[in-house]
Amino acid sequence: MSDPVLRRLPKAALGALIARLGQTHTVRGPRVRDGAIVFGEVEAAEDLPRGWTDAQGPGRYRLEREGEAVFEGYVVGPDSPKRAHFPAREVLYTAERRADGKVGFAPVEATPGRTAWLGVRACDLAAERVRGAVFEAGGEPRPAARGREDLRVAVSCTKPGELCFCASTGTGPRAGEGADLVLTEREDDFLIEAPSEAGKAVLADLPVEPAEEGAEAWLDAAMEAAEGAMGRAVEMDGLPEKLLGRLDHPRWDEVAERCLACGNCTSVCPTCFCSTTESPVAISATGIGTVEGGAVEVGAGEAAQVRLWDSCFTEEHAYMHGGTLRPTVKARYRQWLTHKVGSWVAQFGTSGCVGCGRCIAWCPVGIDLTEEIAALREGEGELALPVLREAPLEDEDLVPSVAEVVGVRRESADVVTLRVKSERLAGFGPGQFTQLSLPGVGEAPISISGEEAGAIEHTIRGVGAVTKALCALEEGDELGVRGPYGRGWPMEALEGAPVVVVAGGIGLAPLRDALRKMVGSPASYPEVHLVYGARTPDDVLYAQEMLGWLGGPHFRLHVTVDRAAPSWRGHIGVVTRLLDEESVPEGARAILCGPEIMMRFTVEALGKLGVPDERIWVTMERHMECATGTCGRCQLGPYFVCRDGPVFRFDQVRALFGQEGF
Amino acid sequence: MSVTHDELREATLFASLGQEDLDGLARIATAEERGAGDVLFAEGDPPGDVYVVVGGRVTLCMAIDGGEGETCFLTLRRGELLGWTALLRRERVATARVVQPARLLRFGASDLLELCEEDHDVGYAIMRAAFEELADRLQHTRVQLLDMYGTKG
Repeated sequence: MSDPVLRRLPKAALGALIARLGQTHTVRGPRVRDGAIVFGEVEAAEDLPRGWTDAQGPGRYRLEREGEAVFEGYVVGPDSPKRAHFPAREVLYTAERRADGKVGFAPVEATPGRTAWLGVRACDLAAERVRGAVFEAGGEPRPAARGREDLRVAVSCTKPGELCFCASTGTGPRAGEGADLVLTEREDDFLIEAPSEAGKAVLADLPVEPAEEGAEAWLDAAMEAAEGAMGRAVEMDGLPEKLLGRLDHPRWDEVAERCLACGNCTSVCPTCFCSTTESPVAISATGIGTVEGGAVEVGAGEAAQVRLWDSCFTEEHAYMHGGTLRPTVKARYRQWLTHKVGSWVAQFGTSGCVGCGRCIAWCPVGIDLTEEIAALREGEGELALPVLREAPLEDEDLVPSVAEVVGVRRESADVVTLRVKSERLAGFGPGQFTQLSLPGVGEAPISISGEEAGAIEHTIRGVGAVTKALCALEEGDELGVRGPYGRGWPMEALEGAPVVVVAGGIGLAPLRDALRKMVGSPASYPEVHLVYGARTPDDVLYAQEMLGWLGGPHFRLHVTVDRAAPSWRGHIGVVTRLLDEESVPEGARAILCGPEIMMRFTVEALGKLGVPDERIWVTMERHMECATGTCGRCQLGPYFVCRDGPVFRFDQVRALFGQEGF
Repeated sequence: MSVTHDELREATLFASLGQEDLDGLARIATAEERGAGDVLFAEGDPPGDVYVVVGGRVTLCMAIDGGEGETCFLTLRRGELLGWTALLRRERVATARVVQPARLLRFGASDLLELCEEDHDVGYAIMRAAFEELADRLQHTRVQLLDMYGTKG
């Protein structure tokens, strides 16, 4: 049945509906709490906020007494079902690291909540679809699993709120898709329809009667009137390209003067999904892992991996190497808006905005994104970047597998190569990376630098808590691994032409496996130049191995350091000084890995030597946590560095490369 | 040793000069071969001659910690200017040491300045080329100062 039949539910039968839902589910619906209407447990019709209305405006939300309506007096409050399906704090797994260096990981399953959501609106249902698209793309099943057995008893809004604009985002006001039952409140009764089988089963037990003739027409007219009553709108057409092309629009400065970077908008937004993780250790056998919807017990000394909501307005969100990429409020607001209604489309095939207006009401200074978008549309510039996204990740697992350290080689004062046995990493490609973890310490993305005798090698510089702990591992110790992740080097596109490999510092590690393959296949890679810059001669990585590569007539090595003792006979100076007609032959293709500033100068120098952007590949680095595109951290415009990168063809990222705060 | 036009043209400094101008330069230049380990001048020396590296490799180093240790921060290669502070009559700020057998063009600083004074067109071309070369070197020095491969890189 694709055409649900409209029926009437008398207002007096609302209690019967709640009781029927309660037979199989926990009913959660609108409740008045702390001066706002939020979702709470509903046992009887009297629990619902009948006669309450929410007076909303930019930076304003007040409950007032008005009328007799059960649902129609108000729209959405700060709460949404997001909090149940994607909790603000959840334990992904518990973990243990014993004194003998062995580790263990135990997944924490997401259990279906069996909640009947009474009174959700069309925008809430749309938001659940948007979240679904986000987590499905990253192969993260937990949020959908939590909602799988839920029922959604939606309400179509006949009286949109002051801040609603769902008509313009195409997500309301009429509820249908995703709903099991849909109510439309009238003065004396509800119209009710059941778009799903589960809804029909409920409906069958209710004291409903067929709606009067003309009810369909009444409903259509009511919805049309509601659309017309919305005082706000966003014009979505072409917005992603316009926003990306207007990163220097003066409006960003103006809004940044008002924005407090408090992150309220991201907390109330039903689609914001950025998260961070913590790796706490229990000092006693108490509730370290307590989460909404059930406690996760861990013993003393055990650890947990906890995922928490995060916001792109925090300083920590884009933190890398002792600094944040987005130090200014302007950069953070711009990141939020260009993502929400811009790059979201390229990433997930839908805008991230469902027109609910929550971010406007709960902004303490009343910033109105519909106004901001309208102002940003008035301007010049458009930028369309290619969509690089491939199929969704499948069978992805945020829980690490246990791997054993089978060898440790010290490369320099602070750099160590770990040799790790792990079946999970089999089949990796050159330039891909993994997530290495230690219980109670945390996870870090580490590039794969090669494979030898069945062990996967990771060259790690100890700079933070996790990498220092990884560098301290010994043979026989265990650790957690996830991966391999990301797009690696384009080995096929490099075949047949001279290849210039430009590496800076630890940036040689992600290139090493590609170099090994090229050195070993002179027929496919007839001329390979490695141009390598290190801090000092002592920091030169893989020195012995590189000397061995010199045996092949098709391989040339050019090394320079930033400073050296007088005994050093090699080059001293920045790496770009080594780029000339000899090291960059005609028709060369180049692959680069190193600090962004080094790559910037290198691309410039390569350009002068006739290498176009389309023949240069770079590795980008951003703050990564999940590596699956679901934590929202490593964004670079429409791209997630963890999924669409870390290797990018330079012409695809040139417009964003070096862009402040991006 | 006599100096050919080809060798002079190797120098970034003289790349834009014509045949006649190169004749003038050839008259004041001498070529010399220096072995690895030779010190061309040392930090603190009075201003002396100006060089252009034609082949081989020369390292610039500075003493730190009261002269006990030396840190080298640049190697100069074919075509590059060496000892240019002599043109400003300043004492040497670094020690220049040959690390790979080098062929050098050597000019008396006052001879080169005189040549520039006598024909300002030539002088302008040479100074402009020096300006460009030193601008590149300054930019490279800044990048080195960032310590980009360090823990904050």
